[in-house]
Amino acid sequence: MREDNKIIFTGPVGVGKTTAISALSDIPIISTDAQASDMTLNRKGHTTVAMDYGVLKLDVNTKIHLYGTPGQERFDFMWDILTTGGLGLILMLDNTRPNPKKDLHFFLHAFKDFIVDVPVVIGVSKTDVQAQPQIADYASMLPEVTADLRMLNPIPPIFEVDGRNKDDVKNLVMALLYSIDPGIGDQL
Amino acid sequence: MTKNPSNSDSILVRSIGMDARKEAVFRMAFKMFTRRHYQLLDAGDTQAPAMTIIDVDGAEGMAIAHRLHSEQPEQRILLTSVSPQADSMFPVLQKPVRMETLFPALESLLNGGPAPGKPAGRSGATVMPIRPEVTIPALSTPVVPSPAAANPPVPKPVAAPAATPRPAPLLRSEEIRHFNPQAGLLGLLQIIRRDQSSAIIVNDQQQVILRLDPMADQAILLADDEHLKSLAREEHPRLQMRAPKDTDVPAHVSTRHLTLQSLLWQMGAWTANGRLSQQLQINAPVQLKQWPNLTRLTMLPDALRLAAFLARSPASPALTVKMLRVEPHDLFNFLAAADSLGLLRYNTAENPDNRIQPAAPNAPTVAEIPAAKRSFLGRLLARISGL
Repeated sequence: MREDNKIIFTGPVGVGKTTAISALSDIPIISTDAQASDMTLNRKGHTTVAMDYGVLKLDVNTKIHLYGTPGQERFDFMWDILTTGGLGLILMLDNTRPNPKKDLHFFLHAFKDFIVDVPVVIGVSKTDVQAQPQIADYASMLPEVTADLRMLNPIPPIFEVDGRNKDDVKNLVMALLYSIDPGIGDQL
Repeated sequence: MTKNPSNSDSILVRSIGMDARKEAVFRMAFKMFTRRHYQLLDAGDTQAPAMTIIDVDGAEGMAIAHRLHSEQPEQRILLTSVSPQADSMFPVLQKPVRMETLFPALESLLNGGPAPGKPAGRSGATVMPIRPEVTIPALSTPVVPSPAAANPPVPKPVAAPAATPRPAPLLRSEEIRHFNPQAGLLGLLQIIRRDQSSAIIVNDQQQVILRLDPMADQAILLADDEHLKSLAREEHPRLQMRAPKDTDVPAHVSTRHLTLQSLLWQMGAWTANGRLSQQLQINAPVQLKQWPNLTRLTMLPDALRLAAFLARSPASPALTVKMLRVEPHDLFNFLAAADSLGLLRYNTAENPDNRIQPAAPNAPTVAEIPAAKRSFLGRLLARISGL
């Protein structure tokens, strides 16, 4: 198997990871959906219990694998599968959830070993439904939430996003790439 | 007798001791692995599997594996466990299972080893990672699809970025023009943002230009962009600020609504108009406190790159131009826009709370990006931006 590169989309159930991956993927997204568990049933009829998978092809030999992790917090069985050889982590948060700060803490800590070496970008969805917390509030939370973490980019991008909006998803990924190397754009 | 399947056959795999979630993960892993076609049998499927994966962390543990082996000695068995036994007679994968070890283990089983009855070694140590070192195709080599690979839709190869980066723009300090961000329309907007009180901005004929509600982050615009841009570029426009009244915005007047942050960001860039803020020095460091919310703000040229660079570590405007090869006027506009939202740190005597902060002692160091990876990232960036 030749080396490929992965971008991981993570976040709570129903936040729009699958839709975001679909916006980028050159292939129909492969999802392993199943009946939602009791924990998630009130938010989505079906949810991703394993992972979503899409591919962005640069050419016939070079693929970017796009993985969406399961949304359920208790289901972390194979997250380690995903994080070897990754380019970065896209964390999507749902502003309508009861405690987005807790979600921020959970997912950053779930990937704590990963984000030492790769950047993370944060997309906050459903801000049109629930305006608080604002982006500045998330930025204020970060020092406390990440006090015990080592992050490659301790000041990550935090953007409002709508997973259905391709431009939003593109900007998330481009921010991720620039966070790896801000110099890459000078060659465009 | 279990036959050895060819590469084109479906290799049937049975799971034992797993719930639906774990089985779903294996199904997905099998879908993603294209070298062979593994297929996980559904519960109740009576087809004979080529191999069986048993999670031995359940109630019956190893007993299931031993029972299966005694009943079907030829059956290939792979175990998964969070705490593999060193003396297991079957190969064992440490959980959480990784693709890098799962497929070599399955391949090893298909190829006949390690055989049941012989110790597999600690944690399935016979299993070698399948993933080789990072290899990035050489950019100078055009990639020609083979006829066999012609069926799936493959995008045209993304053009490699130019091998030589664009030259750093000239930055002569004597040619840098400055502006005062505390004057004019931008200055009024900054006062309103600071005081967090609603206000109206009117011209010398008492015509309403803007109605602002900083608590709600709302701005109502009664002037078009060209008018606002011209006002932004006047250092002493005849504008006044006062408390709003209910009659300020008649119902029949057409208005536009923005967030106050969007307005400030745009006005900052318009006001700068390629000039450097008087509060910044060309050779003194600046740093972003946080990224601007660039999905909901006007995307200024090179804004993503500049944000990534200035969020990473403090850098002077001069160094930023040199390192990123951005046009100085684009940098100055970005800095003005970011500063209008209070997103910049820089050292001033007036505002000691806004001083540059030293890097955290445990912050990971940013490794130098190899040229090949840099080119790869450039191609990916071009691909994404072209979607």
